[in-house]
Amino acid sequence: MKNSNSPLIISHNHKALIFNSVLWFCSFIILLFIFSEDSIPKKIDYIYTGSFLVTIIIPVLLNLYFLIPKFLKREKYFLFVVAFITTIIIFTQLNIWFFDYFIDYFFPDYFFISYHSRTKLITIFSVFLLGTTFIKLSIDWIYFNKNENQELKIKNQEIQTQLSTLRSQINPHFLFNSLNVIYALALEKKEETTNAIIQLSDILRYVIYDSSITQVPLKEEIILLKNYIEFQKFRHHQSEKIKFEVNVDNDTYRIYPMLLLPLIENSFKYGIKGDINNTFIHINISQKNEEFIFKIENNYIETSLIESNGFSGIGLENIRKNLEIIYPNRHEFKILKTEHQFTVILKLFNNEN
Amino acid sequence: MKPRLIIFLLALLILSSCVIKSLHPFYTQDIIHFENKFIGDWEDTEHARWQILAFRDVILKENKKNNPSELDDDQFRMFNAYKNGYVVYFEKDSTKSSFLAMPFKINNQLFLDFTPIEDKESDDSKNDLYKLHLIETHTLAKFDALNDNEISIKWLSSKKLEQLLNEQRIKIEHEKVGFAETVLLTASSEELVKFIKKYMDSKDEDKWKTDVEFNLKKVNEKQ
Repeated sequence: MKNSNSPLIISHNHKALIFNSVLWFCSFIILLFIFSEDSIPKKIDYIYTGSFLVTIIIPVLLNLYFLIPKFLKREKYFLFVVAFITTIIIFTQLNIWFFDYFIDYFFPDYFFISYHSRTKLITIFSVFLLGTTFIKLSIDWIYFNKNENQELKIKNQEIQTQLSTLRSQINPHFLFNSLNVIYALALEKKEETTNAIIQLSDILRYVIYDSSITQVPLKEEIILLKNYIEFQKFRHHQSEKIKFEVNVDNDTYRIYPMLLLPLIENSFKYGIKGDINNTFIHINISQKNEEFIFKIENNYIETSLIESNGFSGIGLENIRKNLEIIYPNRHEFKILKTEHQFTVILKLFNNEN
Repeated sequence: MKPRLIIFLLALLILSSCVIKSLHPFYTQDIIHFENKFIGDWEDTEHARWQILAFRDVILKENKKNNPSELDDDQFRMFNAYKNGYVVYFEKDSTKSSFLAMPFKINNQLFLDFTPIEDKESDDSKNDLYKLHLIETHTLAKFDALNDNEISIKWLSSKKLEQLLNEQRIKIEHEKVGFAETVLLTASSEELVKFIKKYMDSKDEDKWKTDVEFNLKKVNEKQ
């Protein structure tokens, strides 16, 4: 955060010269016409306005570059108000002394007589200091917003980069497993090899093109999963032990793509492979009233955990990271392990929980 | 336009523009300075008679009171306002007018703020329509005691002020009034005091040069 602020602070300070030039030029014009009292400004009015600005520049700069940053922005409001009022009183008196005594040293041939009473001067100084305070705060607010927006953009970019990184980690992982399946079919010279390749190409098409979309309809994600399960059946012969149940109210319900596949992928890899005799995979997808639940159970033995460095390996960790980014505070991710069963439950909500 | 009227208007123009006039007094209460030397009978170089009396004595005498507390509210308020002033009776060529003169000091220089009280000639005149249009203004005179029996009173010339205004070297509230467009200062008394101070400090050597100047000599009471 500090690093991202630094260039803005430098840029802000750099623009202080422009800010002050515009401020004092506009102030000169406004004050000149006020002091000329609706008539065409005379030479003495130009001199008076210029001299008056000299007496008001110091308190305004003091306020802008000392009182506001030291007190107001640090939420020391009482100190700010006291210092602000004191500044007005002191510099109003200095203005009076300046025009009563010192101005004659600079302009001895001029008579600055009818200008402002003490009350009017205090009013002018107050309005000026308050006005410039509001201008300064407004400009700071604009800079702050700009800064915030830039930070948000950077954060978004970071998230996108992170997601792309995660996807790039998922895709080779998935591809590696799939090629293993086709390799196994080819070794056995099975006729299904060509169908498997077509199904893999369908899966890859989805992965390559559709997964780049922020969200996809749930039905498309379900087709992907079905394709994947069918594809896996080429390799494994316990298809009756693979259950895939879908109970969806609204199949246009949108979901982050490629979120569920790694979970199924890992079940196939470590469940069926782990224990041939008692192998099973039960997948249940339900969606009702904006609540989405994905539950996957598979058989589990300790060796598979050791071999894979646990189910919480790269795949699971990727899913966790993904969920934190794309469903922050809107998901629930549970892993339940028993002696022979491994269960993962993922719940997605539309509102923050 | 008739020649007589033109002469009258020209005369009016000359007369009205010769001294600085102000709507407000040229002094503030804190600088009033009563000078006893001014009291007495005086005669100027043109043999006009100046009788100077203390205002407090005049108001008590005219109201036939011995003590200010015996005055009614209005008179008492007036007494307090002008108790350190003078009443100046000016008599020239069988005409008589009176003024209230308030003395005040700025940087050790004594000044007099003159305001007309009455003019016997115009008061006696049955044609008072002209008088209805007039308003009393304040004028400023510089007072100098030349010696114990001789004083000088110089009215501040309006020419200097007009020059400053024309050259855009002064910012002071004023209006141009009447047919002659006489400059009438409308600045407050505080601002007028400020102006006098600055004017005194100015480098202009002719700043006190004026067309309205009187040198008065004390008249021996036995005469």
